[in-house]
Amino acid sequence: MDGHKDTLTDEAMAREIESALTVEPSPQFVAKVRARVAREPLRAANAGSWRLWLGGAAVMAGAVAVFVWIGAPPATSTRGAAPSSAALATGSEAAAVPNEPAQPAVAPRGVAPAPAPTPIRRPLRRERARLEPSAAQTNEVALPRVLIPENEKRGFELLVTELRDREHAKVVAEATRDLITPGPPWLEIAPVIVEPLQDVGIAQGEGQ
Amino acid sequence: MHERADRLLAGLVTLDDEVEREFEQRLVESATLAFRVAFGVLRHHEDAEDVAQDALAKAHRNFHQLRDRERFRGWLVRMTWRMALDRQRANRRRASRETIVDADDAPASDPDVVSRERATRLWDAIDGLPEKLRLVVILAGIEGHNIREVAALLDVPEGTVKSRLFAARNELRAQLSWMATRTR
Repeated sequence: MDGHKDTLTDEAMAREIESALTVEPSPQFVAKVRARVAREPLRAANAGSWRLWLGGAAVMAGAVAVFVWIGAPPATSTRGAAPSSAALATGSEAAAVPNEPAQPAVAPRGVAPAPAPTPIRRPLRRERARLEPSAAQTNEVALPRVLIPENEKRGFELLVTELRDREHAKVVAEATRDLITPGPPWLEIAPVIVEPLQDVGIAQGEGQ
Repeated sequence: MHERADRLLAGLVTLDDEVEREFEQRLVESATLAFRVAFGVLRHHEDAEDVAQDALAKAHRNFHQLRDRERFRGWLVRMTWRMALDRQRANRRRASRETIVDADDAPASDPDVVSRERATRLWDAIDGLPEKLRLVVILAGIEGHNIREVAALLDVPEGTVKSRLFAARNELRAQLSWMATRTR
């Protein structure tokens, strides 16, 4: 039985393990694997393209959502009602965005905290551009339109033309000749001389 | 337009064919290895074939993800190893194993019985090793793999394989020391 001592040597253990693992699969093993593989469709290298399609679809959905959100009318809320068209027509952004009362940072004890204010959507740039007048429009003086008869208009234009033709001095002189009359040469007004008053204290002392 | 689509489709089909041919080549080379790895864990012929078949099917499904096709064997070995361990855990209470025999069935003087008992004890000791040591011992016992080949299969340095193998053999020697005292 001394021959069994080599059971503990590395070589003997290796031989034992190797002989135990020298097993062959059944002859049908590879054929079974082939049949199973044939049943399953192969995911080729381009199979990852579905990820690209999914990513593209997600990006498109996001873009559509943003587009719809921008084009949507401003949301109505109970606390901050949507600005009326009249208010918007004035171009006043303050009217469009009403001032919320300042909420205290910490609610006092025993007082229920006020509900969170409903967020009010600010008018977008496109809406502001539509509602607010531009700088050029703001600089123009809005003149009231006056309707006058055509002949009066023409006469006024002739008058302006004559004035521009340096006849205005003559025209004015003729028009105002009767109104301007020189004053009488004998009427002379002497200049008024105002003398300074004497000191009150000195005057009283002299009186005593 | 249709011609471009046809050419594209033909290119894809050609690509699939090439992948299939390459996998077929790998399958012929590595099917037995996968089976033996599974058998080293399970030591049950049918179970080992089932697990190896599952592993090869999974390898086929994910073959396109393997960038370095030269590492197919190591990839397959690790996959088979994990699946075999899962199966072993599931079949922990399985009663009948092909190589397990009761040592008390025959007198110890019978050389065959002694040999089988020795094998049973050895495999019990191997099963008790930590997973990393166990895998190295089994891979070193398959197809005469040397340390470099085992290192390539596990994708670890050769020094790591050496130290693991050394530790595994020490552990086995300690566990099987009763054999020496019994056989004297």
